[in-house]
Amino acid sequence: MYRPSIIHGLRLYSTKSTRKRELIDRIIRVDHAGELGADRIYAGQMAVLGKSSVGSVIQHMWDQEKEHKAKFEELIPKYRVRPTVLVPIWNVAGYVLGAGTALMGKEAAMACTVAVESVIIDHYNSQLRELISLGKEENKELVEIIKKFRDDEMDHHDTGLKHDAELTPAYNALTLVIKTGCKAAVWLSERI
Amino acid sequence: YTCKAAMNSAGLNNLFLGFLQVSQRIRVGGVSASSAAWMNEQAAEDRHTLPEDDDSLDDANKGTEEQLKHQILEAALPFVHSRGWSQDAIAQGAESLGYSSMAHGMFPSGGVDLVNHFYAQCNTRLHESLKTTVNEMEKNPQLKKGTTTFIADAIEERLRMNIEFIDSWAEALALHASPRNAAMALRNIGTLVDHIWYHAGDRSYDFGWYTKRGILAAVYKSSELCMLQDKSEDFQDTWTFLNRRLSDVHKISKYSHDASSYTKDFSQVAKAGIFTVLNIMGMNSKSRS
Repeated sequence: MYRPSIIHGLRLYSTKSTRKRELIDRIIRVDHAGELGADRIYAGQMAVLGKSSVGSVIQHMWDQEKEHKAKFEELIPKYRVRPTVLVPIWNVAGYVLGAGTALMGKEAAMACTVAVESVIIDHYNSQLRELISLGKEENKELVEIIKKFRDDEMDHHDTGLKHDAELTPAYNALTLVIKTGCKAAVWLSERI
Repeated sequence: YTCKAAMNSAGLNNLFLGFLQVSQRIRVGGVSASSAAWMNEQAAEDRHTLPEDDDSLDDANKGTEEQLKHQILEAALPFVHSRGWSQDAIAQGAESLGYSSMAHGMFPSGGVDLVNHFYAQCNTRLHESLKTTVNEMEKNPQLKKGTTTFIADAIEERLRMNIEFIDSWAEALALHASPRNAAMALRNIGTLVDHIWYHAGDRSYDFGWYTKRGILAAVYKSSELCMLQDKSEDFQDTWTFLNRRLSDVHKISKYSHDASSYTKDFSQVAKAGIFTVLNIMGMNSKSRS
């Protein structure tokens, strides 16, 4: 007898509108998780480097991330999206990452910023591609928001490079580890 | 239509469905009338309201297959009283619409598809009804209810929708409990509690989203089970049970709130004690001038 897999059962009434729904659900969930993580990373960095010479730079970037997070927190109930279960974990992990890299020095903190932002930029770009392919006009609001945030993140990335990120000892290894961690976090938050 | 189906897409399934529909329509209304009715059905409604309400144009074939399944399940519901939540009921439903009873083959999971259809339909009805209630409360502030009352009324309304099939509802829940169907059952109750909380005013975006819905799901499930063996007048026992559960939840949340403020004060006292000891031992070098 033909026994469909569970996925088939869940998608019994899948249509274009449910696919779009699922895509938007996934996008907003992971973006909120990302901004939450970024907010906590900068908080950790400020806790250590707040009074140093890069304190004001980090503060400026942190304020922008706070804006981003607030925007997604507004979008979650608006689009009836489920937030990620791992919110408490990202809270802690982000702070630890920020404080940890800041303890390694100013350059390491900037390197962490560069690594995280480059993953986020690629991520936002692929989301933009998906949304635009689904319909630029229908998803205009989300497309505009993600575009603006992506541009902000690119600024952060460049700021990090400008402030001697590449002078960190073991720059390549550090950024590789952080990038892999971020990609894993993104993968998880998209699903749960 | 059959030519179009063949040109358009995935194989025999669609061809079969198309043939079914065409044969039914021709039998009912003659060729030109049936094609006119067909055109009307294909016109999609554009409803651009909230993003959550957006139902954009579906793939033509996918849409009609869904519509057909929907129609058959809808027609099968009256037969549940006599045949239970089974493929038999679906077959009867298909026959009542003029299709062959073999159409139950479109539902490989059998009776549980019927249960899910009914559950989803009730959820949608509740969603519409709660939306209307919220709109009315906004227009007329006198009608405003407290959150707990709103939730109690919403659960009662939703449970009352089960009364129609209360005799066979135990069978439906048993089908949902089976591991194969558990994922879909979880999705059903998830949608339900999400609707209730959203309309009750919850706009949370952190872990509280999960705790709130988890608690409500537990309350709803226990009330549903209570209703299965309730023999009182108009299910009064169930509503009393529901109110007791909700007041328990209220009590627990109040106590946990009190407890957390208690621990905050306690931690401050403990900190002060530790610093005193450090000062005495001379180890608190930070606050030495």
